[in-house]
Amino acid sequence: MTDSCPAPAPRQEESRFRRIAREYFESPLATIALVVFCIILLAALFAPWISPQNPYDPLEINFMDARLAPGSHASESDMTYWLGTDAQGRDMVSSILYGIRISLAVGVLSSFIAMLVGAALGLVSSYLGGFFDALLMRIVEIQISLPSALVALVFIALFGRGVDRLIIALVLVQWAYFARTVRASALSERNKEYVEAAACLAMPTWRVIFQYIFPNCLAPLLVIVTIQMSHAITLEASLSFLGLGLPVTEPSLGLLISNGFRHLMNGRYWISMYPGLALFVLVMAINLVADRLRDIFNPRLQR
Amino acid sequence: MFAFFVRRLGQAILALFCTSILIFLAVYAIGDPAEVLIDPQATDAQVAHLRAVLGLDRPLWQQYLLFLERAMHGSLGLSYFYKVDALDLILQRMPATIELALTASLLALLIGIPLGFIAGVRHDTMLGRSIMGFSIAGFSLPAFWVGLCLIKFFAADLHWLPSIGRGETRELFGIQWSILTLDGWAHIILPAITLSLAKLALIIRLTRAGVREAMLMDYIKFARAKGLPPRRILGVYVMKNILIPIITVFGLELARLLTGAMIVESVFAWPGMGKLLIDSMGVLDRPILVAFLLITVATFIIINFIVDMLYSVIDPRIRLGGGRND
Repeated sequence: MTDSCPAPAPRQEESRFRRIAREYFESPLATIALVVFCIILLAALFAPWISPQNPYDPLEINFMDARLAPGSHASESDMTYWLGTDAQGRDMVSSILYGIRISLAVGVLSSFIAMLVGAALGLVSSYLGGFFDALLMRIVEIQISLPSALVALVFIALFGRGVDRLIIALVLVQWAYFARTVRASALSERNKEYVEAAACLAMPTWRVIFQYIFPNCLAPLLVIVTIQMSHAITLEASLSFLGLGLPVTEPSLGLLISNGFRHLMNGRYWISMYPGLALFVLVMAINLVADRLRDIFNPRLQR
Repeated sequence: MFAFFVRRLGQAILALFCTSILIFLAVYAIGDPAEVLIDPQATDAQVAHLRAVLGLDRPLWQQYLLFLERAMHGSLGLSYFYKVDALDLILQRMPATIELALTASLLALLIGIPLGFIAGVRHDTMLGRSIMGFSIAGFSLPAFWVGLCLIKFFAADLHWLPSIGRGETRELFGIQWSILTLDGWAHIILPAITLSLAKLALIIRLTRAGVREAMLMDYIKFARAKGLPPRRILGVYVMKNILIPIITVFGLELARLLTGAMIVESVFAWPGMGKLLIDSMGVLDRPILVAFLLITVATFIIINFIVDMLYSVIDPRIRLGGGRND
C-alpha cells in the first residue's frame, strides 16, 4: 500500500515466528512429537512409493500368505511381513501406511473446512452482535454439549454413508469450536484502536473483519485446528470401526482395526493391534503439538 | 431459592418443548413420515389406513399436536425390528447404560481428583509431569482400541474377565442391575475402564489447573501463614474452590456418557441404549432413532437442571446474582 516503510513489517513478522519456534522447541517432548508427526505425514504422502506392496492391488497380494504372524517370510517372494498379514494376505505395514493416508486426509480436510465455516460465522457474529450473535452462540452451546459421536451417527443415519457425507458430518461436529474461539478473540480485538482507525477510514465492513480482525485471531485458531484434527481422526476411526464411516473401498485405520477385531480372540492380535497403535501414535503426536501451542499462545502464562 | 428453582424448571420445560418441535420437523420434514413410521413391508391398504390413523392428511401444526399427544402417552411408534414400542425398548435398555456411565464417572472422579491434586501441587516434579503425560495419552487413546486391548489381555490371554455382555443381574426397584452381583462387576469393569479413560484425563487436567490457580490466592497464603496443616489447606480450602468447575464438567460429561457410550457398548456387546442405537442403524429402525434423540435431549436438560441446582447450593453468589455471565 504505502512505500514509505516497507521493510519493518516483514522483519517483525519473521521475528514473531522465530520467537514462537524457539519457544516451541524449548520442550523436548513437543519437539519429538512434531518430528514424529512429520515422519508420519511424509510416510502417508509417499505411501505408494515406500510401502512394500500395494495392498489393494490383487496382483500384488498373495492369498496363500493370509494371517501370517509378524516377521514371517512371503511364500513366493523374498519379502518379509514385519507386522504380519491380514485375512486376505495383505502386508500389514503397507495396509497401515495406506490407512494413515486416508485417515489423515479425511481428518485434515474436515478440520480445515470446519475452520473456514466456523471462523467465518464467528467473525460475522462478533461484528454483527445482537440477535444473530445470541442465536448463533446458543446453537454453538448446544452443538458443543452433545456427544460428537452421536451427532455424526445421526447425521449419517439420516443422509446415508459416503466419503462426502462423512466429511460433512465431521465438519458438523467441529465448526462450533472454531466459531466460539474466533468470536471470543474477535470480540476482544474489536474495541482496539486499529479497528476504530480502519472504521474511520470508511473501509467496508467485510474488509475490516477479514483483513484486520481476522489475522489477529489466528493464534488461538491454530491451537483449535490442531486439537480438532486429532478429534476428527479419532472420530472417523470410531465410525469406520462401527462400519458407519468410510466405505470398504477407502480402508482407513478404523476399518483395519475393525477387520482385525474378529481375529482377536484367536490370538491373531497383530491385525487390529498395530493399526490401533499407529492411530494412537498419530493422535498422540498431534495432541502433544496442540498442547505445546496452547501453552505458547496462552496469554496468562506469558511474561 | 424457590424462585430460582421455578425459573430454572420453566427454562428446562421450554427447552424440551423447543427441541420436540425441532425433532418433529427434522424427522417429518426430511423424509416421508409414512416411510419413517410405517413398516416398509406393509401393503398399500395398510399404508393408507395408517396414514389416516396417524393424521398425515392434516395440516402440519395439527400433526405436531398429534405427535406431542402420542409422545405424552409414551408412544413414539413401534420398532420395525423388535415390534415393540421404541420408547419402551430404550427405557428397558437404559439401566445398563446408566450403571456403566455411573461406574465410569466414579472411576474418573475417584482416580482423577487425587492425581490432579498431585499434578497441581507438584507440577515441577517428575511425578507431576508423568501424570500430565498420562493425561495427554488418555485423551489420545481411541476408546474402541483400548477396549480391544483390554479384551485381548484380560479375556483372550489371561482369561480373568469375560469380554462381552452384562453377566448376572439382580433386581432392585423393579429394575435389573449388574452392579449388585459379583459376576456383574466382572463384566462391567473392562467397559467402565475403557469409557472412563478420556474422562479421567479431563478430570486430572481440570483439577490440576484449579489447584495451581487456587494455590496462588491470598486466602491460601493466609492459611499457610496461620500454620494450618497442608492436608487441611488442600482438602478444605482448595477443594471447595475447584468444586464448581468440576461439578459443571462432570454433569455435562455424565450426560455425554449416557448418550455417547455407543462405541464402547458395541465393542463389549454391552446391552445398553447405545448398542441398541447402533444395531437399529444397521436395520434402519427409525422410530428408535427418534426416541433416542428425544431421550438424549431430555437427559441433557435434566442433568443441566440438577447441576444448576447444585451450583446454587454450593455457591450462594449464583442464586443471589441471577443469570450467569459469559
